[in-house]
Amino acid sequence: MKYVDEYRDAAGVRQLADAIRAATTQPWNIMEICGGQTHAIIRFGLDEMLPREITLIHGPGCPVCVTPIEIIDKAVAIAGRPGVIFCSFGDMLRVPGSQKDLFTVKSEGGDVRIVYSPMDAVALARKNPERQVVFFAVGFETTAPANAMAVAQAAKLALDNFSALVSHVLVPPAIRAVLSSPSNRVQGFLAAGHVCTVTGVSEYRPIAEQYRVPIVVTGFEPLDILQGVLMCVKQLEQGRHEVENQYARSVRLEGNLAALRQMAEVFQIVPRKWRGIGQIPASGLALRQSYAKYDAQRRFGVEHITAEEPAECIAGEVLQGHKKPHDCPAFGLRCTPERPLGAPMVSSEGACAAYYRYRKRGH
Amino acid sequence: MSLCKHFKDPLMCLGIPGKLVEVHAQDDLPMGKVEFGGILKDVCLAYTPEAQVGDYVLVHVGFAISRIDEAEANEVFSLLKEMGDLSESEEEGSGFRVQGSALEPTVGVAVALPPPGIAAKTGGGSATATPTQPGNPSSPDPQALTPDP
Repeated sequence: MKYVDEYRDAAGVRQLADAIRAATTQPWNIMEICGGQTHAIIRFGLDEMLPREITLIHGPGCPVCVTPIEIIDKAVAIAGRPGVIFCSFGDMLRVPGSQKDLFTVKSEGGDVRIVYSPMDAVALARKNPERQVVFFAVGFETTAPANAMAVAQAAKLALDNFSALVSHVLVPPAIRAVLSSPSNRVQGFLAAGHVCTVTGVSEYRPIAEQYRVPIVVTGFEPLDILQGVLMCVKQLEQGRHEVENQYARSVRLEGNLAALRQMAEVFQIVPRKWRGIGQIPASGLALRQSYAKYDAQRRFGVEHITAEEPAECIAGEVLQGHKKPHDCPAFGLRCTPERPLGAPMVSSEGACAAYYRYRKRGH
Repeated sequence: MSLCKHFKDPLMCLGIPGKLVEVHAQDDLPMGKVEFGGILKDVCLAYTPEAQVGDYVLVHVGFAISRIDEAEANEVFSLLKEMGDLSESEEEGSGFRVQGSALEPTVGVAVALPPPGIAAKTGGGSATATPTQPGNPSSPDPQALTPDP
């Protein structure tokens, strides 16, 4: 497949690994933000190709993993209501809530449907005027433009049987939270290439300056990740702390202006609780007042639902890079993809799931 | 990556490049058909108004979010060629086993770890300047996403 296969070329990977080794003179800790990058690193063993001076720390960029447990509980509550068609991206279906997950609701007879695009949910609402169609609008900034368009379309078509359960999260506040933590070891970042395709890099420059960390916007294939690491290592070795763009085939520095405009029209920035981490100010998106009638939490009266995490799950430590999945006493024993204690074990982009699948025992 | 599996059990977290093969409008929205290795999907083009038939676009959850810039896409290969021309290290490499010419996932494959410590620097073997993006482009209205009053 074009623009995929050539970025997995083994000779190129080897060259970049050699270049990284040649450039490295001291230990460095680099965090890759995005769960998709974590997955590629573990799947292709990219961290094992690096000199041992370079430590890759897995970041909190897994929207499935950080969706607060009470949002799952609200989704489960809504999906169980008679007459509701609950639409979701596939990744969310097995994320454990306090009692159950959406997949269980489906197996118990709830009309839970996996959709490829939020527009599929809008189409379902048009086709089924007698049913309430609810779309689970989660993700980072990458999916926000699509979800915003779905709500805007529903409003344009005056669909009164469509609503969205919104729980978006933003990346830059999470980076600040990681850097502000007293136990932070991260010295440089690989930023998420698809998030930045939407947002551009304007919010990353102040972070690079304030915390003096290099930030390299990076793609997801092996060549991308290794080139991103090389660029980051060079900055660290040279004492630079700039924003660079490895993923220039997709990322424009100004981002996608049409997408940002649509997001700004439909969403506003709010404080958001991150599962396992806690509340981070100005780190989430919610519907604006003008779109309040499409808010599923209001429509179904589930705003009051709260929840606690299972005590044994250390997802928060893993998501902030303080611990690795193997450090968790429950890993692979009481917590597996089939019976997860938390989200990173069930999400396809979760660090725990990646380790479970590709690296069962410690290495 | 299995495309059939992805489109059957779609994930929000996967952005895939595909070729735009057809454009049309639907409910006042620009739409297109994008081809991913033989599979055709309907994709909303509202966020890539510049994309033309024949272009490659990056698609997330049924929306094209960028047009793939072919010149930029080739940058890393130019870099690798320069590195290859400068370096004599054809045979050392970093000691991992590869299958064919494409990197394979490590499941079940014994991966020989690179030698411990930092390899001795070879003269002139390091890469030339990596691509950077200087400049300060205009950013969208910083007030744009602030909360409602």
